[in-house]
Amino acid sequence: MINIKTNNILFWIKNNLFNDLKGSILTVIGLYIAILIFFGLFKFIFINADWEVVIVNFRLLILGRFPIGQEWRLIPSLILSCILIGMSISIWSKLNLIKIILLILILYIIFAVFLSGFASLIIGIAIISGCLAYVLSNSYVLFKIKLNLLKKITIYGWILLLPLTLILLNINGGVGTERWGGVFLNIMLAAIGISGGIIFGPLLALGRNSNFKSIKYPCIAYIEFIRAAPLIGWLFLARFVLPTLLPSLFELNKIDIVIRAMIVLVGFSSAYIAEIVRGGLQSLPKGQREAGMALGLNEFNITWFIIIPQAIRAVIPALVSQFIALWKDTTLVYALSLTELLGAANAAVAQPDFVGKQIEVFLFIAVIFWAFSYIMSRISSKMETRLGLGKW
Amino acid sequence: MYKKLSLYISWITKTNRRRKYTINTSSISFLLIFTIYLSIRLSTLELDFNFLSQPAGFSMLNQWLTDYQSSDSRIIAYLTASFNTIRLVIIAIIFSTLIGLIIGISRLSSNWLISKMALIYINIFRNTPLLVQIVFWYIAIFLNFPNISEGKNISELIFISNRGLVIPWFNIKSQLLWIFIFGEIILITVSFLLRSFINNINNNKETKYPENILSIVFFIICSFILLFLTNISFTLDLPTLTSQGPNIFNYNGGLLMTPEFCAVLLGLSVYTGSFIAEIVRGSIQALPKGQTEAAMSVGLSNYQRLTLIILPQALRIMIPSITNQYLNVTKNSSLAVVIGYSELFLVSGIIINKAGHAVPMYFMIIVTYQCISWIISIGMNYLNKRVQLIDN
Repeated sequence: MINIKTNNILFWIKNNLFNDLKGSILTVIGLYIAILIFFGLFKFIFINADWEVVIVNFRLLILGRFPIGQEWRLIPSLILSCILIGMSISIWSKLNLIKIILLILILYIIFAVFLSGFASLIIGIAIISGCLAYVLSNSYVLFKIKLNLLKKITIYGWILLLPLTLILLNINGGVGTERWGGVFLNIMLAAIGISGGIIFGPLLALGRNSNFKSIKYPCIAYIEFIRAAPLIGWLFLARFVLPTLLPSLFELNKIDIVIRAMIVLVGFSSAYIAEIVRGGLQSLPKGQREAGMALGLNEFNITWFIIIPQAIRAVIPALVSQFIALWKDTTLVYALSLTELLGAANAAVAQPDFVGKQIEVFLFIAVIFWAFSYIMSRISSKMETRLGLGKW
Repeated sequence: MYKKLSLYISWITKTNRRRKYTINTSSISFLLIFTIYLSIRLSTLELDFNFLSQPAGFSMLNQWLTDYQSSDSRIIAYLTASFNTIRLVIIAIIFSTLIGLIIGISRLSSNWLISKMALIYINIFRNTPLLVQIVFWYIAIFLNFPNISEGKNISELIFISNRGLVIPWFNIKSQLLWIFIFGEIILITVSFLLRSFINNINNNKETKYPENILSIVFFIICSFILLFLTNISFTLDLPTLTSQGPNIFNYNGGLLMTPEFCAVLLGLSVYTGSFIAEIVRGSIQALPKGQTEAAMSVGLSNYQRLTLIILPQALRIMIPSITNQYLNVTKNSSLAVVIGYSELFLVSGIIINKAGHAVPMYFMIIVTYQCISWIISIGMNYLNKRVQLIDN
């Protein structure tokens, strides 16, 4: 038995690593490089690196200059998002138990290392509530709830998450946008950019496909104009020119630079999402619209119930990759000297106590950015296989 | 609520004529009001371009082929910045294509180790924001190189320090350099015209002239004539480290690449390379497997199979997406402003700080980016047509 197994492994190694002379040379070179990089990283992370700079500046990196004592505003959203993540995993994904336990352990260890006392307690509560939500919604049959209802609850929860966060941030005095920072600011910018893009992008796409020239050409002009210049240009424009263009009504011309960045991100992402959705609209056969007309539906019903769902469904992978791009683009507000994650990292590096500790900080923030985009891209590829896209 | 909304909309859209009038009137009046408002707002700003002819009054580090002094006019400063951007974009496109091809092909290698290493490369660099990468390369790597006096030098030819990278380069000396470059551009167009002319003759005749060889020979001969006419001398320019007093060192000769340029170039090519690698992999996988098998059964070597059978066919699928990536490189090159590479946005920002006139400046920037994008897409569309023609 053992003999056969070793034979199999040897066979596999011979087939996949040393199948001929060139392959063997490549393997040896590749192995050398891989070992070099791996041990270099290992040595750096566990021996040479001084992670104190990250531990000391952890709050700066996560929350920026968020006022101390106001963190309670974020706790409900944090717990709700953990619950929603747990429910979503149980409904749409089949993770096995070992994977889940590993995930939670990794998350908790990371936060326990960097956080202390109260904050780590909150994170613990959030993670535990997420696990509870996972277990409860996994056994939804016991509560006599239909799966569709559960799905509906989860989707409405995700939709309500952003308004809830915004309300919590604004009631009872509130925390001004100028105090937002760190990863929190990145997440808020990305969330607002994505939700705004989802609302305005399809509208622009429909406008571009419209029969009315008075709607079609302005939409084309807007989309092409926005796509012509890089995002950083629009951000600079928002910084220097936008205040002079806005009316002085309600002090609109004195709005905070974070809100201006949000406006720009929404406008930018809606132009790009419009182009993606237009591709979906074009992929629909003409018969769909005609069938709707034959049923006697009016224009609004045809668009809302027949065209939009199918068009969006066809372009979900492209949409998610646009979301990932937007998440990565939120770093650009650093050019407006905001303390989002990259700005906070630069502020941490600039402290006189931590001269020459740039690599640690930048590795840390790169891992945070990477983790979010990687999770999103995994979700996208899972959705692609689940929806069976590219098969029809 | 939905029913009421649908009722209102169906009243508006009850007859075609009513719908048309409603939509056209409302959208045109909205556009009109918006334009009037915008023009009133803009009329308070300075919109003329006269400020561009005044002396710039700030200095930039001259790099390859730029010759800018602070006494030059602002338009010269702007053109220098555009040239900096174009140079960066061209070199980044070349490097990212090379990286993308190599990584994309090794992703499909039968060698398990090589393919997994390529996968890790793609996953890491695709999912991290470009700005984080650029800032990481700049602050953590290129600025951490030793001082110029203790800089490393590789066999007295290449110098590395925190002031940049110096490599040997050709020294081109001539009064008529620009005439030479202009003449070369004309020669290239003329030889393409010659080629199509010979092609036309070939269509009607039995004996065919070798159009490629003829046009290349024509081009080379005419280039040599132009070289002698403009009296250009090429000499090898070796870099040297000179000290002008204690602790004052300087590089003389050679081609100096500043740390900013190196960091942006590295970040752009590595980031875009990972995207191009995915495109290359996707388009090779999109080919029917029979192509590979047929090439193997004919007895072609690995290299021949790749260059003669697989890549020419895969090119047809990949060129549109690669064009998209090249356009992204153009837009992403604007991120260089964050680390202070003197490209369009940095120089325009300085000009705006000194002279105001933000709106005309941004208009010029958008036009410049649009022009670069047009040139790239025209070139790539030409290439696309050529690739499609080979098949027929």
